[in-house]
Amino acid sequence: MNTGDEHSYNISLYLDNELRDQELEDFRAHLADCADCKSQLEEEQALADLLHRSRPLYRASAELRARVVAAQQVSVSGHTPERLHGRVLRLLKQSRGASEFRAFPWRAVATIAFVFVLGMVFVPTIARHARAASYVDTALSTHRSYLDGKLPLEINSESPEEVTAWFAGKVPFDFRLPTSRLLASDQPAYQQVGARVVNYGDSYAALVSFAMKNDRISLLVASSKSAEAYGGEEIISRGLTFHYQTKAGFNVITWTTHGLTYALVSELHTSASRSCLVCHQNMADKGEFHEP
Amino acid sequence: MDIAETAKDPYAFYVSKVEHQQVREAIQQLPADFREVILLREFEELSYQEIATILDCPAGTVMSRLARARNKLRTSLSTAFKTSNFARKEVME
Repeated sequence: MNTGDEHSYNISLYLDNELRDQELEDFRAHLADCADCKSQLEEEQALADLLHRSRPLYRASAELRARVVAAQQVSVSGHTPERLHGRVLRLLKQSRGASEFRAFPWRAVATIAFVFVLGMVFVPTIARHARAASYVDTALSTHRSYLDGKLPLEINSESPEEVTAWFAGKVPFDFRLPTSRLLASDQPAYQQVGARVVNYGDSYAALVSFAMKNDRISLLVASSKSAEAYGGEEIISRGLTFHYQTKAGFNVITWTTHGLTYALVSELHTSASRSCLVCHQNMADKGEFHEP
Repeated sequence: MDIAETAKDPYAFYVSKVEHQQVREAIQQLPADFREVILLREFEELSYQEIATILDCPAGTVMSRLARARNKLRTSLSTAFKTSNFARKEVME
């Protein structure tokens, strides 16, 4: 390999996060002094950015990808790995060779039917998991961006009615913030701060921000056609199923109602069963959030 | 991860949709072996070793297929690059 090839090779490894330790340090040092490599890196980066911008809305979560790779590794250690379509083709060939099945390839048909049924059973569930994980990830990244000051609010208001009116026509769904029903002489546990519109996939979602003492709470709202609430610990209350999970140090609660999917992100450290009471503690409906 | 971006205006939104379509068409036109490695690397962000395990081939093969697939994409997307850069300039002005 000549020097030019070696540098091209390292540029690909660098962009794909495959360089480690000393190799990474050496390449960074080289990059600082080599205008050709810097220019080639920029070209490669531009292509990578273009491809990344075109990624589909729903992708398998990191957990699901890890499970797929782990399953594949089990397969490798057990026997020679074979792709699914290769396996089906092999079975088809076997059935053609067997004289008892020459008239009609029953085994092949049965295999294909079995694979089809497996697909029908598992694919919708996997897709649902992926959609839900994607929405949670989006809610988390949106919350982080807001905390970092990268997503400034477009309206600052403590009034749910004012924010509801502001969202009219800005998001492709009918979104109304409920007016809190406080008990007499009680102060709300949280305050609404404001809101903004954010992009979600090929459409828009509503982001509403709340403050509770020094904590910030984000509520991301999207159409249930594109966002799913699923997984985590399930808490059923008021006829709704709330999905509670902790991820990257944040608490995330998702639920779907009236064609909208909500994701509430906070740093409040409490159990799933008490999480709703944190905000509803001084409200008239607090009795509806039971602790087990 | 799907990152929620700041809201775009309708023209920028349209340009980005056209760009996505061009990229996906270019990927569809790749030979199957190249398409597999591009999707697993660029869309699923798997490492070379993970891709090699899934495709049952050496990591070196993954790397050479990726390089050739990217070269093909670069050629077929040169028009898309020009269009999107042009559109972005217009949007910014």
